Amino acid sequence: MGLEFFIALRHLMSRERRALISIITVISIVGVVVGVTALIMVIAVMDGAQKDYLKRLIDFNAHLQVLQVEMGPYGPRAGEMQDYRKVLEVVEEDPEVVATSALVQRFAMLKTEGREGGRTESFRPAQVLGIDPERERKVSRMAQDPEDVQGKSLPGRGEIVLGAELAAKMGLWLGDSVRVFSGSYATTGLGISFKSSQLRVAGVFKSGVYDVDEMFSYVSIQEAQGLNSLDDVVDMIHAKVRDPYEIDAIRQRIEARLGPAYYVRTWAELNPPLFYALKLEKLGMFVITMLVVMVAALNIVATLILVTMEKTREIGILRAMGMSRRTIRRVFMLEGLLIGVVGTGLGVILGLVGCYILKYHCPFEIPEAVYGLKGLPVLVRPVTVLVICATSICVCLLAAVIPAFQASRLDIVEALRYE
Amino acid sequence: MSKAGSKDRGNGAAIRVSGVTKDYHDGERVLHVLRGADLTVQRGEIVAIVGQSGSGKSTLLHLLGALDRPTKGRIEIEGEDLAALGGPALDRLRLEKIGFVFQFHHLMPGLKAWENVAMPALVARRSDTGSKAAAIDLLESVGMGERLNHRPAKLSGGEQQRVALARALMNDPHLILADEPTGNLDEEMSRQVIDLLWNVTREHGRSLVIVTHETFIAEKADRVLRLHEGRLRPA
Repeated sequence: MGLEFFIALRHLMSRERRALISIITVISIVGVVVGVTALIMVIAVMDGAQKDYLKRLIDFNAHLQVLQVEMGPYGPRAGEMQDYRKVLEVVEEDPEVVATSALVQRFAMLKTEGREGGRTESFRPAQVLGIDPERERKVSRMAQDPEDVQGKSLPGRGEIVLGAELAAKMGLWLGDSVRVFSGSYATTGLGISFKSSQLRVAGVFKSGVYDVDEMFSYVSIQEAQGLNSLDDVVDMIHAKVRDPYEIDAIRQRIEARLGPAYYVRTWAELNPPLFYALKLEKLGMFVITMLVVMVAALNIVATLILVTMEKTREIGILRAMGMSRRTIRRVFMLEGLLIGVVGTGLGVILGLVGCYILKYHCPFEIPEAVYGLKGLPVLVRPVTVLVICATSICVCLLAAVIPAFQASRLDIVEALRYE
Repeated sequence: MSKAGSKDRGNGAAIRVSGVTKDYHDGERVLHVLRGADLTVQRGEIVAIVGQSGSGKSTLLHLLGALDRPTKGRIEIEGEDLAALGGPALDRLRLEKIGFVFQFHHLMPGLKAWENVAMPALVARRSDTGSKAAAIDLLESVGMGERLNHRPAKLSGGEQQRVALARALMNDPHLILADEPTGNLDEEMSRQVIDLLWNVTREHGRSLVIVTHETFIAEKADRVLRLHEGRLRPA
């Protein structure tokens, strides 16, 4: 390949009267650099965001939930769990399970009274979770280590802990009262009356996940049972495991022990649309950013066609000397490869520098309320960088195919006469 | 001079052409450039081909050099029928057996004199160092030893043609095909280049077919043929 490399380099670094080819070579390389840099940075930010979001979500919720299966009018459904203490014991027996807790999880309506000169009366739906504070502390991060909490992180009797966004939208703060209406009702002479409790706001938390802060609130398990007219039953057991990414194996073991009357859900199943959306979004961004590399590839096609035209007579001379069509093709493929390798190499360096700047010296603020992220998360995966490099170089090589065939098919006599 | 140049070239015909025609199509019009040319060049023979401009001299030379294929007829180079050879075999034939000297020298402008001369050896996949040494030897033998690192633009017309001649000899060809090699040179320079061409042909038993307009060149050749109306006849 020494000869091919020698000629390819001379073509791209032409020092002839017109330096046009050299300039266009530089433009082609810059195109590849921009494409690769953008790809590396965009994918790193998306990977970072995904990981960050995932981590918060996994840690915030429990890693798995156990529900009781009962037959409803439309088939199996989750029912109230009466022997939950026995289920807790079975789940805790698994060596990978770190902690368990029972939970009542129901929708409710929260109502605030209007105040003169202040907030107006408001209603908002919310997920009200009845928890056992001592056990819950060990299972979900909200109970043990919320990112930011005002007041108490775990509620006592007659108390409620609200997500920060929910509290803000209802104009509530520590010490305020809120009436919580459950779905449990009684028919009286005056009509339907929903069961409710007046609770005091004991804490306001920020989980770092916007949706959670807007929808979730916590009360004690006894409060939730009372509010929903439940006896000593819960809606589910949830548990924390050592390695959340090994959840499928743990789930299988627990399901086998509990039998068909119970159903085990993992953290991944709890948010399938979100994970699907994250994956799809990343694929979409990859394709869109790859278009930049495609434009760069078109640049390479144009450059090499120009080289073919500019070097037509030279190609004729080499062919007259006895150089084969194959060797001519290799020269032009090598030119595409050289542009690709140099452009991709520089793109990787710039991309990594860009990622470093975004991570440690981010020049802009991210609105947390919109993205649920505090800073710009950046995660550079070596495998991703390698895939981007390989894709970019392959695209550059493919871009050289047409000019390479065009050059190798030149008629020798015509090429020698070319002015 | 190249040491390999002294090898035995053998006996018999270097070129045998019989009934060669070449047509060019210009829209619906067909141009019959060669209409049954016959030619035999013996090994070691120098043949000059003369004729009016546009008579097809260069076309004939391109066919002899396997740069193009005839419409009809048979061309043999050292007994090999060119029609029977595929593209790669023709490439190899040009690389190993034929040296071209063109009117416009056709040097590669981006390369130094020695790089231009070494190119055929590099195409033949000979080593870089061996090719460079051979190229320098050849350039010295044509009086260009002082201009090894000059690019073509820095050389005079005569010097450029000497470099082109050295390049044609690089792979020690049996046959040299020269297409008006002095067409762009003054008389003094023309004579120098022709003397050089004759020397490298005679000393090494090569065959030479030269297309020319110059009377003094034709007079030096072993045989002079005139291409007229697509056929070759003794001049």
